[in-house]
Amino acid sequence: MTCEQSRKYFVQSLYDELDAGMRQTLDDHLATCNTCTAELGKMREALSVMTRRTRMEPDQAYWTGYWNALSAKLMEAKNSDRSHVPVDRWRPASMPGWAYGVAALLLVAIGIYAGKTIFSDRHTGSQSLLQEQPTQTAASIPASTVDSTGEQALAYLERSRNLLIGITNLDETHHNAFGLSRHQEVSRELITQGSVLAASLNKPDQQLLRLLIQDLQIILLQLANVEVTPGVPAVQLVRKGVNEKSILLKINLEEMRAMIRKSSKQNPEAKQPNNL
Amino acid sequence: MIDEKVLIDRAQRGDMEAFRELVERSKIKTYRLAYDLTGNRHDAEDLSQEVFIRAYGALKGFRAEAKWTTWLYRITMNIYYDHWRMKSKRALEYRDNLEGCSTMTYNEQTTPGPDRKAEAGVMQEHIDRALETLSPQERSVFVLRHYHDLPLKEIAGTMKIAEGSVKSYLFRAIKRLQKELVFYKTDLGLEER
Repeated sequence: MTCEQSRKYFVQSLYDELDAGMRQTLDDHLATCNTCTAELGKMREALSVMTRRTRMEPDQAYWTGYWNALSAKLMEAKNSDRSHVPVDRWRPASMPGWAYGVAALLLVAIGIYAGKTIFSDRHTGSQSLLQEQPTQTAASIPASTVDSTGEQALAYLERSRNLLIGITNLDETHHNAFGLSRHQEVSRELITQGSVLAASLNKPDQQLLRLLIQDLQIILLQLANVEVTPGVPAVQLVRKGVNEKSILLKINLEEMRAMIRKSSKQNPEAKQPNNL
Repeated sequence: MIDEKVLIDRAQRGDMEAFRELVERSKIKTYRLAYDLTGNRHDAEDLSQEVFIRAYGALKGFRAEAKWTTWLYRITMNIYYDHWRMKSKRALEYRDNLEGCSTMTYNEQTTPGPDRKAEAGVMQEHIDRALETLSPQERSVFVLRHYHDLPLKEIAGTMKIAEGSVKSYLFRAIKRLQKELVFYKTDLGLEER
């Protein structure tokens, strides 16, 4: 048994759900592997701390009056028909399980088709703004040279700015006809990247950058979740968020700071201004 | 004591006393699961009552081969996910409205209130905070296994996910908790000597 294989049985081992044969195999591995033994020990330790947790229990009076309170709510729910919310809302009883698999495959096929046909021309309209373009900013740094978190963050800011500029410059008729699905997709990607980046920006001089990425996350979340339906001013909502938080300005400032830092590294004698 | 299946059958035919008996038998378990999921008493009280309201409405569709508590757990989980989504949305809106308070994180909205802080010790606070770092799925799997003693297979049935997914959610949950609690290890006096 390898370490990777043994980890698959850790959870069952911790909760004593391994059959005798499997337990023996795992024990044999643990007897010869200090790393896995230590890892399992630490997990067990964490569980022992969690076992010390207590709950806030309501007092006896609450339990005594429980039925009365509940039956009053039941009556109220009956009148408003609230109690008839389906228990498994995501799965209608009449639909068999395999139908979900077929639906998922169909969705994937439609997605691939749409991707090849609609988004194949990557250089038209606002779509080109969503791509990582060769510019003179941090985004143009090849992946191999983007070795620091700060530089990765700048590349991230550049991509976010392109996306937001694309959105803020969209005209209403265009977005209604074309939809925001590609923007929302990019937005979701950026949210994921942003979470990782924000977590790794932990130096004192990276605090502003981290706050900016957190602000950006809010705007990107709005964009990712906005419903593009007639009557919903989706673009205006995002635009409002961008303007209110001066996101584009903050990104520009951050890039200026980075440029100053870079030039002061290249020319250590140059004085760095403090007012940015 | 009347058999649970008999009570369910009677309740399905409109016998309110039978439904009451079912509630009496499962109210504490339901409250505790709700508490483990939400992390505070007020939400747990609301959530557990909502579980019975939904259960009552869907009682006719309940199949006798399923276990009453498993069914209640499933309903609890559904309401919890709704609750979590709403809470996240509210926290987001709240944060968005706070100009100049950009250091506020979403988690700060879900921290226990003053009564909780006063009554619980430091360790409880740490444990609650560690639980808050879990995703809804990780937390659900963890509390069902750790505090409600449901076997992995039963959790998979309750959550309608594969047993393999239950194992990976649980593994990730424990790892995350371990990471969170390592930070507090000194306070808790659990350092390896």
